[in-house]
Amino acid sequence: MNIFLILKRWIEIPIHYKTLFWGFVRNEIKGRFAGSIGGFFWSLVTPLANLLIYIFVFSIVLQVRLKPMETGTDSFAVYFLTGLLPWTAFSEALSNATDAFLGRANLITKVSFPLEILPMSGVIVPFLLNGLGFVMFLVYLVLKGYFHVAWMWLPLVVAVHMVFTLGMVSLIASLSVFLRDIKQFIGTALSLWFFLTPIIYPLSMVPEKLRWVIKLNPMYPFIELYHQTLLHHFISFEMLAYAGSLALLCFLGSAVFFERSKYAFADVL
Amino acid sequence: MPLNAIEAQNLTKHYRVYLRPFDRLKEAVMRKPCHDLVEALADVSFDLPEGGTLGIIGENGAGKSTLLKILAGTTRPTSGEMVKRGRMAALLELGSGFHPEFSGRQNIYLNAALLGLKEKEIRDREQEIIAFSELENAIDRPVKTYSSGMYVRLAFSIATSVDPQILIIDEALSVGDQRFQQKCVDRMMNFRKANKTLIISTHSMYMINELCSRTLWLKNGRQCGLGKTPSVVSNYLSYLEEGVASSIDKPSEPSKPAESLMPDILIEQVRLLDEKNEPVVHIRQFQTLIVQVKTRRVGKPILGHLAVGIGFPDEVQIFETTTKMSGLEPIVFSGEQVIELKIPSIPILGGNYLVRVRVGDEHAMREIHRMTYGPFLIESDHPEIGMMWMPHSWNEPRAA
Repeated sequence: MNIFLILKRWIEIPIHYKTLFWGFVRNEIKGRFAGSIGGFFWSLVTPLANLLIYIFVFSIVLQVRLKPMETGTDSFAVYFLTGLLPWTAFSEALSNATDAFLGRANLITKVSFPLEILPMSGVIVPFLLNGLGFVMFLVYLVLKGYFHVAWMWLPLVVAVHMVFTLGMVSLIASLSVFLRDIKQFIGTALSLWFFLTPIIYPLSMVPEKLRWVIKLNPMYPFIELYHQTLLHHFISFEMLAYAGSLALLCFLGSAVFFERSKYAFADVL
Repeated sequence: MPLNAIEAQNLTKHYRVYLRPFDRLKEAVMRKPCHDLVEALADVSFDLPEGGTLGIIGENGAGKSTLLKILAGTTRPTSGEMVKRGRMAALLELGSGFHPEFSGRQNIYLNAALLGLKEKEIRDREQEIIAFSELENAIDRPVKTYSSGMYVRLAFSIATSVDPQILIIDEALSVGDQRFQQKCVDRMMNFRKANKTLIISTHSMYMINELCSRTLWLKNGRQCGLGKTPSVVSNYLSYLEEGVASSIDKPSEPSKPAESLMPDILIEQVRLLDEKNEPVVHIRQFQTLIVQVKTRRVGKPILGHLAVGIGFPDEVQIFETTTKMSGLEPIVFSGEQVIELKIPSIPILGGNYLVRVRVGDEHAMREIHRMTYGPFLIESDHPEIGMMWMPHSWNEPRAA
């Protein structure tokens, strides 16, 4: 099995099957709001409401302050949201991933189409939906005077983060076909993972002896990159290289696993 | 010599059956087999030239669906080789991939994209798909509100509009009303005429006879017959006949496969003949019309009655008669028979009509099998309006 051929396939599929790919994305998004009167409106209101609640609670009521030297901001709400929004996209993608193949058994056993499209749209959709909230948050940051040229790294950071997510989603999606327990366990795993990632606390608050645990967490470099570009206004190329290779490794590993197991899907489902 | 659209060689499919999902993991980790092997398909080989039509018949569980899944590419054979040439559309289950919350129109887009169409191609075909499915009034409603017949109509319209070189259909047309089924058969006929390759699996011998030049008979996953449709079908029917006979011998046997598959009396063919017993193409008003019905009874002779009716395509019947109404004794159905109804002069006005033939039990109460012929055209020189021409004359106007 040639790894370059697999890679080529993953790159070509969304181009060759453009209609199908975007059809899945569109349907997934529309499907979430199907039957509701507000429809797309809710995907704007919900993140906006969340944003306002966090800012209100942490900046106005509790007035939690951070040390700007360590976090790049003194506002806890700003620090928290910088990590939370990318995390939400990631964790939504992962918790939906268990159903990417399992929930479409009927389709997979009856229609022949490139299955790679399913994890791909499974990553695009939460990133698009949470992207709306993220853009609102960026606007808030600009208004608060956080804008900086270092933000130009943001698209790259998001891209690396998405590649990592795609790897995780493909792995979980294909594993779930064989191990249905993953579905039960993913929620707990994600909330554990959330608290082991420096989102709700800065790394500097973790006792020095225990920091290595946090740093081993594969999600740490991605969240840290968001913190760096948006708040610290610089990017550490070591961190970027680390995150990039982690993402690539995770994706390639999952792609190989997917390639080997995909022919068994129709038989197992 | 045309190229082969499909070449299948020694296709074999084994399914591993695990009693518990945990066994699958155990096997993967311990490397010790923890499964039972089920042979769904064994050594099936055939070639299908471009433009060929292949019917697949067999009892339930004979491996028809497995074979179609392999041909469609949703599953891989355990061993064996398959080559296919050309765009393929498979209808393994009608409406798989429909999203119940979305409207019919939205589902057209996703479903056609699944079958490999590009956005522009779908847009070009949208109107035609809707028109064929006859869902103009319901197309913007969510498909969860559709009846199963509407579901099938939409799915069939999409699959066939993709214009594939190879079309695979699995038992798809058993739903939907007679008229739509006829429309589907017509469309598949056009497929044949356009030199496209067609593979159908069905329990309907009528459809196989009508559509397929060659037939493959599967029995317990093995190839039991492959060849010209009439000979394979007749072998299959006599095999079913034996099955019925042996299950009568052994009444304790719970499964009678043949019974569920076939009506007691089968209408095999309906033809329209003129007074010289020649098949008619153009029917003229007041000509002699003979409705010839070919029936087949598998098993012991049984009694029954036959009904022949003429009506409009929209279910409205103009005239129907039965052998019982005509005061005849019940017909003894046994083997292949031909029964004819002669109408010396057909008074129906010009238009499109259907002949509906039904066979019922000896009391003419329970319907056993039915077949519809047509629509066919009756041509008339009379300008009058209505259903049929009645002899008439006008009296001179006079003072009242």
